[in-house]
Amino acid sequence: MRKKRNKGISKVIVLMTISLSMLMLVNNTFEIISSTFNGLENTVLSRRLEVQMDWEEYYEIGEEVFNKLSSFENDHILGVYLGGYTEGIIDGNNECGVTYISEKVLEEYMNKKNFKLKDNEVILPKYENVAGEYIERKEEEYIGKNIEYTVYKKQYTYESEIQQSPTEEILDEKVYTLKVVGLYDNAKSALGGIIVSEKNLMEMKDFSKPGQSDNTKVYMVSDLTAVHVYITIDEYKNAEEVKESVDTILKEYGLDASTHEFGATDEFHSLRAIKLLANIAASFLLVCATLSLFSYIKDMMNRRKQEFGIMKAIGYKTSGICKTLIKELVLEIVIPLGTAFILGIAAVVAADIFLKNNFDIYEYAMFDIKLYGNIAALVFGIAAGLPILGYTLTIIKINRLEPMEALK
Amino acid sequence: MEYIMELKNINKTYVKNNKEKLEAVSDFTASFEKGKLYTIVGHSGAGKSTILSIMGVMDKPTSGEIYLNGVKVESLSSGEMADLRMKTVGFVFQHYYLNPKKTVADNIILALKANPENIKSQYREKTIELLKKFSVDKYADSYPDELSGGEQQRVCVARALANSPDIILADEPTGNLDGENEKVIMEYMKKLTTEGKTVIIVTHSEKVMEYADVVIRMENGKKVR
Repeated sequence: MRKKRNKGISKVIVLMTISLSMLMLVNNTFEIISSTFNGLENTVLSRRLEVQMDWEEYYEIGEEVFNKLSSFENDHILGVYLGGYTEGIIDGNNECGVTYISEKVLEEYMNKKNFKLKDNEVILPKYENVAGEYIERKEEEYIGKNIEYTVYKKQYTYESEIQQSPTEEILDEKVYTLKVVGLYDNAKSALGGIIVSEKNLMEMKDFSKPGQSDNTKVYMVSDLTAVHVYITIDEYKNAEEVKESVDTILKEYGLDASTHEFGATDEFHSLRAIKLLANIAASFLLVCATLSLFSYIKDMMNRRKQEFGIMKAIGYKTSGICKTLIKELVLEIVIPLGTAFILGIAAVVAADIFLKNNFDIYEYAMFDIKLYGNIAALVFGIAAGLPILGYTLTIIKINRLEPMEALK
Repeated sequence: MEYIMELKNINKTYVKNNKEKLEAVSDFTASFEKGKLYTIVGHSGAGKSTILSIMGVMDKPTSGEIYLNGVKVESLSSGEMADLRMKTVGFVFQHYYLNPKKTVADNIILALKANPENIKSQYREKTIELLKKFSVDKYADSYPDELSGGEQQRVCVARALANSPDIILADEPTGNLDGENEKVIMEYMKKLTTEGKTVIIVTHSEKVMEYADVVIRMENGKKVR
């Protein structure tokens, strides 16, 4: 009975360590999947720290700044977004703006989707924003069909300082007929509106004012009252460098750029904080479990000193005792943890491949699964290493003991 | 005269805190014949257990010579000593020192495993045979703490005999037993001498001394008779 009990305790502790390691891994995987499913747009916007400029002037100045920034060459700038009150060509009134996406980002996206646009073709966002909700477009409803787009040129004016919404006046309108050749993930719409063919783009550019950069291929055609420009950059770490470059342009207009994380809702921040705390708690528990395991093994070995004394007394050589301990170590620690380690890494790799294949946004995800995989691997390593160290130290200690000393 | 073991001028000194010296055994000389039962008696601290450990190659003397089956022990490597201990000496302890996590049979098998000459497929058979000899074979699959003190000690004697040693060394083997069990164990010990084994017992018990062919008395680490 005792034998079974002791073996049971040992296994429970080892399994607890493995479970906690797995918990951490699963938690992180869940975190990534969750961000990919639930917070695509926010994730992108949060990932890409933005340089924001606010002003209270009308769109003319914003448009000018936007055009200047759109043609501004900087390897770290992925896109420039001119935000404000606007009339979108697809969704009607909304609070979008004009977006410029750098050639680099656009080409990358088009290549990935294998899109080759001809004249009069368009790629639509897979989701459209209607009344703040995301509704999936049905592919069969759109692909291969012609869609008419009416592009308005509107003028928004405030007749008094206390007026909250501007008065709109349609100055001109033009209808385009475009054939839908593809749908793209809504996450990309965080970067802009529709993707149109070169020819249509040129026509649209002729018609509407904002975003008339030579590089502009992603375009939301509208007039707008600009209230802010965001510059989307590739990595947080490059924000300051970009800001410094941008500042020289902004000074011409007497504007200051400020960097901040944009687009993350309170809920998203809370979720992220909870996950972070969960990770910390899981890591803490894991360390505690590992230390307990280590101290359990150490204690177990001390208690087994007598057993080794008996073995020596009945004629076991040092090598024989070592062999027994190593066999035990391999069966009870190395194999279970090694298996868990391999399974953990396999889970990380599988999740990585799955996410990469299914979510374009994944590469922009806030959480790097490979990094977390490495952390998990490290944790497994520590979890496996400590007991091995415990066993090794005990073996060294016991081998130095004379049989009588061990029996005392 | 053929001696199975000879001890010549054995001294054992312990040093406490690198200063104080404690002479546990002093100039101990004795020879042990085959097939006899010896008891070593004396007060606590007389050096009885120390000399028994030295006899069993479990402890090294500070000086002196030990011959086991004619082999000079000091000249052996630790591996050779372990071999000699396994083949020549069997230990019986006052506190039995049976592994509580192993069954009675596994405790015996543990001793059999120490000798590479034993055949794995015969472990169980040999174990049962040994246990039968001491009438504890029905406990083969029980754990030691399910047995009485006397039964555990009989298992301990069986384990000591696992590798057919010539000498059985017992340190207060009946110290934890009642009179009846003491008698049972001592009868087994006496029986072993008829099989040609040499039994050396450290004891305080007058009753145990009655079974001895030779009684060695020790005082302050010295053999007095």
